[in-house]
Amino acid sequence: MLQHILKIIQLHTNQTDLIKKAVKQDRKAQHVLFETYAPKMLSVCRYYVSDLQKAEEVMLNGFFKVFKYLKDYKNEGSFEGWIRRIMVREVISFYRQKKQIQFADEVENYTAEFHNDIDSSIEVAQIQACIDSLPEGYRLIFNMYAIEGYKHNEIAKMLDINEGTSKSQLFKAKKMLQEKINTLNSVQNGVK
Amino acid sequence: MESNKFDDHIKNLLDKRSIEPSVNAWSNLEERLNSTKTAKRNWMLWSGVAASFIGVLITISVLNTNTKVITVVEAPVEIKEDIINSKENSKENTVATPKPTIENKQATPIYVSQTKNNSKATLNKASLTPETDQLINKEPKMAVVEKDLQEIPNSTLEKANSIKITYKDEAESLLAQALQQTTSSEPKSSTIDAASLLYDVEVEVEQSFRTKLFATIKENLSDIKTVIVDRNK
Repeated sequence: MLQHILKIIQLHTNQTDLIKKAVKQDRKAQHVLFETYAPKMLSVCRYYVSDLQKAEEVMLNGFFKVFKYLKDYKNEGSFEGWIRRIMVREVISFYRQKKQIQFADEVENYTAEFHNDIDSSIEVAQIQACIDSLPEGYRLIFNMYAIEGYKHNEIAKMLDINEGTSKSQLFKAKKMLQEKINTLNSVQNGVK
Repeated sequence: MESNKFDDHIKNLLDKRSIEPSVNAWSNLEERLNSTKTAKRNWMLWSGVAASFIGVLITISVLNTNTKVITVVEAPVEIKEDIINSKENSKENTVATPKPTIENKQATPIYVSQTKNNSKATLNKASLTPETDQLINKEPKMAVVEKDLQEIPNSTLEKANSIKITYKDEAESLLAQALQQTTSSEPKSSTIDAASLLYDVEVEVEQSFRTKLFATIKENLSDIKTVIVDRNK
């Protein structure tokens, strides 16, 4: 237990040193940080962008900004969370550049229930495929709310939309996703 | 509640995943980072070059300003030399009178030619003295000039003093020369009418020459004063 705590402290110290060096444009330190966080961040970008190459492009843009603004990181909160927020913002700017986001009209009733009946045999790739099949506006808001944990007012502010629009998009996204997962479940059960 | 579980389940599934970036991902990023660094360096280099260029321009303009002032102040020295030379030669008086203009601040010599009358001129010392003394000892004007000169830097003051002395010396040398001419050309015979000769000289030769000379000196003095006043502004 003690060894585990010591290991965590050492990792934290190492990371602080790496960040300090990376701020001074030390390429080796930047490379280590990149190697540490790039796989996770590429996965994050992949939630939103279905094309892996484009997702990597977004991730590289995100890391470029990470190293550019690293001096502004105050060691408050987790470093990974800070990078992750940058990645999400980069994804939003990617969508804005493409001007692809279309948000449907608001829905008055959000009372439908969603059941946690995802089959355990369903793999991540299959879930990702279901998310990829969502319209981009739905996908963006679903990922921001359900995976990143943003609140509706934060999402509305970041995407420059109404809070109600965010709620309606999430509702529709979940509904569509539930249907797709149900289909997937039935296929899995049929296979079994 | 069920809704939250649905979200959490998907989140947990996706959070476990990590995707390795392509092999050249880091090299691409490094290239971008390096290009930014180079651009920054280039920007700093160019701004340094621009700053030094501006500095050189300012220095040149300051030096030019100083040179212009010196040109204006030193210009009257040419008068002295020209006048003395012309007086010494004195067959045909060509007086080089630099006329400094404030706009371009360059001395533009104006040559005033005067052919002396071949008749032997005689100067009456008494007739010359009051006017010349008046001109030389222009105390109020010189006092103003001296007062102005006290307010300007020492180097310029010394130059200005030398000019003042130059004018005095010039006037004195002219007087001495005139006196010498007068004494050397005293009428030996009693048949020459001194009054008529004097009248001739007064009217035809010396009057105009003297007037022009004094006018030139006055003009230069006023130019110097203008320059000094402009500088003090």
